Amino acid sequence: MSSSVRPPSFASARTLSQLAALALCGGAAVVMQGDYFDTFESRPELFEQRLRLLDAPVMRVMTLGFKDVYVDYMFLKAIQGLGSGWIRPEASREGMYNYFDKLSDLERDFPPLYAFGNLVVADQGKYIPGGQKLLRKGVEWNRGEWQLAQLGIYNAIWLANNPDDARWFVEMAKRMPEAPEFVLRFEEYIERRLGKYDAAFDVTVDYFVRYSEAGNEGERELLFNRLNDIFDQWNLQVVEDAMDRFFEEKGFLPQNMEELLAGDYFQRTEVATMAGFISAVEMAFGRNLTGDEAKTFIQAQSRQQVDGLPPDPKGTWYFLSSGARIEIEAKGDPSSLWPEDRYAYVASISSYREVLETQIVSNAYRIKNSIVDGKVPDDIRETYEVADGVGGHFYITPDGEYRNSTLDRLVSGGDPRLGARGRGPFPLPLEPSLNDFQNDFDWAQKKGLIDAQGNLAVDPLGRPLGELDEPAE
Amino acid sequence: MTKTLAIALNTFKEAVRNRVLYVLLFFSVLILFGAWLASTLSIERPERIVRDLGVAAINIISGLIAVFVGIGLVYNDLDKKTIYTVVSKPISRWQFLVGKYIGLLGTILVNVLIMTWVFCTVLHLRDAFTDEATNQAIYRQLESGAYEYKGALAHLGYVATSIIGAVLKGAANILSLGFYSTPITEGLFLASVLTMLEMMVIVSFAVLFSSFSTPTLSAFLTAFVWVIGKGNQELYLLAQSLMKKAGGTTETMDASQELIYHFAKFSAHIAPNLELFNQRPQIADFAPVVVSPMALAYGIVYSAGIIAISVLIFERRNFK
Repeated sequence: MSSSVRPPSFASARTLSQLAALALCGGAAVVMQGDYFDTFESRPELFEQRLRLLDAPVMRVMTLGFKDVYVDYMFLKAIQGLGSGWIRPEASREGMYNYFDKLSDLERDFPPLYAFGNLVVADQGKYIPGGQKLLRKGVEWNRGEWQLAQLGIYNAIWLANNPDDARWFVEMAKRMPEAPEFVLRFEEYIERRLGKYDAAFDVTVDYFVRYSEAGNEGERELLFNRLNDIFDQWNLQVVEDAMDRFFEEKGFLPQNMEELLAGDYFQRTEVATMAGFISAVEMAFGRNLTGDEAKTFIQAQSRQQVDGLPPDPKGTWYFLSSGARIEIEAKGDPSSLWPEDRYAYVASISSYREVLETQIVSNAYRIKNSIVDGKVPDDIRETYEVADGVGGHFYITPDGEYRNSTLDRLVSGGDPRLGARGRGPFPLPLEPSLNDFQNDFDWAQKKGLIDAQGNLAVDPLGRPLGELDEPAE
Repeated sequence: MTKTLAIALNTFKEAVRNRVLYVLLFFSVLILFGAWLASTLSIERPERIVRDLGVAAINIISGLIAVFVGIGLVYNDLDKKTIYTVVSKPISRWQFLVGKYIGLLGTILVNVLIMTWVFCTVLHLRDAFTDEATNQAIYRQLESGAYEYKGALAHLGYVATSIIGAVLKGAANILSLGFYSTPITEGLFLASVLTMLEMMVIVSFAVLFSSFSTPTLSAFLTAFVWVIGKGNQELYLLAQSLMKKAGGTTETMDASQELIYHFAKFSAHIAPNLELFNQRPQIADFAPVVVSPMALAYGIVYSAGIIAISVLIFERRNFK
């Protein structure tokens, strides 16, 4: 009797058999658990499961008054899941959207849920409409959260390409007293993106007058730069409208600007110009006009009628890049292309200047290194001394400096094309060529790019002209 | 009144000897520190997470204390036959029961205050140990602009003073009845007051069930009331939306919908509405926490009603 109540010793057969059973069961459990985790990645349903949330009214009951805690938990879980389950291809886009949609139904005034939901659904899941729906909901339920409106504007413009959506978010941002100016100024950007440069100009003038009256010089400078862009694109649109008419009539793309100027493709149209704007501002402030009066005056006085090639606001001119045109034509029938792709070869020297400068910066470092490595400039001329797309050429100075003849002319303040404004006639052809300036002509002849008469020996892409005659495969 | 208070004091002493209480307190401390840890996982608004989880933890642990300590309240006296000693004295049964109720409520009050103090301390520690505050305290900027480590002693000193400071500030939050608070501890004292009001109701049910049933059944029933009370308001809203969807009549509902509808309506009228004491959304959003007169009156009147029922049952109970 007494032996039955005494605890068995550790060395007894009974204890050992119990320990063995424990080890066996424990070992099996560890192996099974290991196998479970090893196959984790190949079992998408594990990740999918968490996407299926019940409707908010049911969840509200089931969370027993702890809905906020539940939302916090699911939010943290979603953050942890971003790096794994969310980005699995098996995870359905709608499922990801529903997860945040349902959670935000449960807790409508928790802005991070919408912002993070957008990150998961739109950025990771590439389901942009879902992200936008979440942000719209977020803005509607959290009227002070301008950051959500800003995200919505960003998505609408750069991800969804949906101007109406962007406009809606701007309108909502305008009703939020805390929304900073830079968010509200998206209104102007949207109009510009839509090609409504007149509307973009009017909005910018509005801000310009307000900042001038507030004495905010920094913002005024920024707006000057923005106006340059607006004028540039507004005028460029005039060229593209002319090209549309040309293409409609002829069925092919214009080869050069003269061709375009020859017919009635440019119609009388209204644009604003930088010169007009500056003079209007001086007049308005000279007359002590303020507020809406100043704004309306500047908006009207800056505009002028143009009946030919409009001026590039940065002081130079527009041209047709032949190299780009050939590449566009190689894509097939130009009429099948979107106008913005079809006319991508319309360029301005101001935009091309950036291209030239980028090329110089990227190559200058390599050239310096080559010289440090013992190569003399003559050894590397072949590689780096090439024609640019606007009738000039790159060259290496005896000191190893990398330069460009077109840029030299622009920097020295000279007009490299002698100013092509209005309908012409122009002293030089509007399509830039290596014939235009003597030093470029001499250089090109030495390189074999043109013959003694100045005729091109290669096409604008640098291919010998003879090769073009070969039948296409 | 003296007799009731004597019973209450005795109940309090008995409750604080209960090991379950300490286990729950230990877990509450773990959860409150865990809330701090969980908040660091959030990419946005970690303050919301830590406050939300902390206040919820205090609420849940208080409820568990009410259930697990309250269920044996009367049964233990019956089981150990101590009830005979008590009822043989010039003390009425209602005084005994009310004393038990006040004693348990006092126990929970002390525990809620301890948990709130710990939670405020956690929040103050969180503020003290941000990277910015710590770096400012343990590094000094040299004339050259570089930073120099002040040494392990200074580091240790900072840690020690931060902990002591957090504990003292936490105590000040409680002792000042919430009048002293920093932005992160704003409204926490009032949230605890609301938790106490909620516990008044839950403990009254624990006393009720304990007055006529076994501890297991009491635990189950009290927990059931707590769960129903928590989801009551939402359940009622769900019933209303079901009715709305059905076109204003139960005739077009299917069997399960009709069952849910009737259950929701019934429970809404019978079970307590504990959502009245829930101000966690305000805590999470740093909005003002208000103890409304309605909530105060509801807590007192409802629990008084339940205690009255308990007394009615208990007075008719045969202890043989």
